[in-house]
Order: sequence, then structure tokens, then C-alpha cells
Amino acid sequence: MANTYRALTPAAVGVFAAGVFEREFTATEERDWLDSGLVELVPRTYRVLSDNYAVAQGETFEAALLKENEAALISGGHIERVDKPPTSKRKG
Amino acid sequence: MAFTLTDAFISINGVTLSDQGNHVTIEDMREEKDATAFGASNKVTAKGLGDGTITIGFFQNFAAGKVHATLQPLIGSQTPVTVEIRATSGARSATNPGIVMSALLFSYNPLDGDVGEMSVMTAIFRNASQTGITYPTS
Repeated sequence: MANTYRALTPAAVGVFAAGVFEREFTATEERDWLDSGLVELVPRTYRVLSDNYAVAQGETFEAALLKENEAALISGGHIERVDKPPTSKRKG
Repeated sequence: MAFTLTDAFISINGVTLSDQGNHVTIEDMREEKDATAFGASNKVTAKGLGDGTITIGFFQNFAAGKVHATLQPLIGSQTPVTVEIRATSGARSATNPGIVMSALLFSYNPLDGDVGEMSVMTAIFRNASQTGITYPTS
């Protein structure tokens, strides 16, 4: 599943894109890019499904989860992504 | 004061599994290195690298959000998760410190039992960061 990142340096912008971008890295690629300091994870909103997660069931929270940790929590039935709808353009 | 372990807190990747567990062992270790030089009359042992292992015993539970659903995805993962154990389920404090390790799950035996016995299993987490095991009190 793709995760959302932000390019932090001109070098990263050259490789990816300016600002926020989505990419489906492998776990190793993600760790290497984050450790390099060239990109950062962008927090995402999640809803809690289970009754034993650190956040109360039914509530939403924002977190920047590494892709394997996120996958483990989603497949375990603990959380789900709350993808925000695209921002509508302002009327002229 | 000595106490009986009846209410240990177990959190793995932010998921509380205390009510599924019945055993915890925390090993905060340092390698033993032989530093004995020629001419010594006694062996000298020095400390090497640190290491940590957290072993947790669970009653197996395949329900959504419980033991298997939480642990099985971690055995194939290469990304460390936070494991925290406390002596009681109370908040961290000086008398109830967190025992925290950024860890990888190295052993998961989903079924391990005999006929007529409770289905218990063991998960073994090993240290995966340079901080090792820490003991935060807040």
C-alpha cells in the first residue's frame, strides 16, 4: 500500500516531486529514504476498530506509521485509514 | 516491597494484550568478554555489546484484534515495533516503570500444546535499536 511522504531537499524533489507525494516503497527502501533525511513521512488519519489499541475504539487519530507497522495494524483489525476526500477548488 | 505478579501490562505495536498473556520474561543483557591478559592471576571479564529479549506467553486467540491477528503480521516484518511491559496496568511511575524496547518478533509458535490443555504460545522479541531496553517512569 502506498504511503505519503514529503520531499525535504532539492535532491529529493529532483528524484520524486516537490512537496507531498505518494509512493509504494519496500520496507527497506522506506527505511533508507527516511534515514537519509531526504524525505519524511506525512501523518495520516486513522480510525480505531479494535477495543485494545492505544487510542479508544471508534476514535480517529493522526500518525506517521511506517508501512509495515501500519500494515500489521490494519491486517490485525486494529485500525483503518480515513482517507480525506480531495480538496475541492474554490469557486472563482 | 515484594509483590505478586497478577496484573502485568503488555503492549505490542500500540495494542494492549495484557488480558491474553500469562507470562513475561525481560532479559537486559551485556555480552561477556574475556579481558584477561598474560600475567594475570585471575580471569577478568568485561562487558561487550548490550542486548535485550522480551519473551511473552499468551493464551492463543484467533479472534479479530487479539493475539494471532496482532502477532502474525509481525513475524514477517522487518520494521521494529515498540514493546512495553509494566509490572501493573497502572500508568508509568517510579514504582511502575515501563520496560520498553524497539523490537523485532523472532519467534512465534501459533500452536504449541497437548490434548486437553490450554492452547498457550510464546512470542520472543529481540532488540532492534541502539537504545536497547529503557525504563521510562513517565
